[in-house]
Amino acid sequence: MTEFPTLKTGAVAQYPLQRTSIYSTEIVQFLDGSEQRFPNFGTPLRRWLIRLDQLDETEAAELAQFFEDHPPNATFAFTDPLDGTTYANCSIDQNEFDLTLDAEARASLDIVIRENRP
Amino acid sequence: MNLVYPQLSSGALAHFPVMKRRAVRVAANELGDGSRVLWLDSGVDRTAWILRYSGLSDQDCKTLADFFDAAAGRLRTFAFIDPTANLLAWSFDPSKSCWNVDPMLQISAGSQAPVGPGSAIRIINAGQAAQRISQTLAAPGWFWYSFSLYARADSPTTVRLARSASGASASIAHVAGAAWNRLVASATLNSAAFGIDFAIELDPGAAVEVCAIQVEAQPNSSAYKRTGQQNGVYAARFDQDEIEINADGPDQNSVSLRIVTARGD
Repeated sequence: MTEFPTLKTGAVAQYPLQRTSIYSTEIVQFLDGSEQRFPNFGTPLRRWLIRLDQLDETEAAELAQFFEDHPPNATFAFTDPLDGTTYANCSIDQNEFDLTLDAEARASLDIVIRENRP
Repeated sequence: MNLVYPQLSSGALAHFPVMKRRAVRVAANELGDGSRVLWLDSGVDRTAWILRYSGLSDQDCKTLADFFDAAAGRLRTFAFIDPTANLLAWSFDPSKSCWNVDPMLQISAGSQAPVGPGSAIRIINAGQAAQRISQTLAAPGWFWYSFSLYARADSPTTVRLARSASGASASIAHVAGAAWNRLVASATLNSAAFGIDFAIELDPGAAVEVCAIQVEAQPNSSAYKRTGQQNGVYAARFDQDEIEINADGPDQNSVSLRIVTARGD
């Protein structure tokens, strides 16, 4: 399984890093005000928003090439930089990949990664 | 395709900041348990650029404005050389069909590359004459290109970085030593042809390791960018029918242009 690439420093992400845990709960509310709740899935799905800044051209090109090689319907392994857990089945969760070159060796980009249900 | 997006008088194609967008379309069916079924609609992918120029001389501004007129806004397709890209395809893999390898060259994996992931490429010329490995780009022969690679050899070895277009050619010889060094050949060719060939040429018996092979349409080399099957030459069009030129001062102009890959041409 392909791993999400690391930067030259060995890091996967920079601050600020956003991680979202997604639950899906069905709620049925009765006439007396009471509720019945049940989960659509037992374990949460995770999503990460990785904002990268001050990248050099080599690092930016690696990530752009990763998007080419792994469009949103492809899967790869991603290690959560917050707790070190490896999620074996993840995808890029965006259809557009924007790369901004502000100056020499100063590229920035955002990537959204989502855990897939096995 | 007759139109070619022009280089400025400096040899640059763009000013900072440059924005490049790669877009694909994916049909998604999300199920109740959170799983998804995804299909990539591969015929609809596109690439777009936003080029913001500032401090443009009157001459460079006229070049861009005249080109916009020639393209008639969004109407006509032109050849666009990606200013952010390494123009070569498969920059790390000479076994791909985009590379032309002379028959007496022996190519194998070398030591760890000093830039980028993976190993370098070991090339040995086992022939009795100079041999080359080359890639041809459907790009203008008259542009300014910076052709670069990292090289090393166990003993001092001549590596020639050559380029040729119809009716014109040039090469620059470098000597690769025991340490990794970046070899650069930056020049223009006196050619009006569309189509240019970039080659690494070795003398008989030469053995070198190379990596980070890169061609950029600009006078100086930037950091290495590893590539896959897409090279840096696109059929594109403007994504706007209006061009707004701001004269900020004497010989100081600014303009912003949106370009998108064209389909169906």
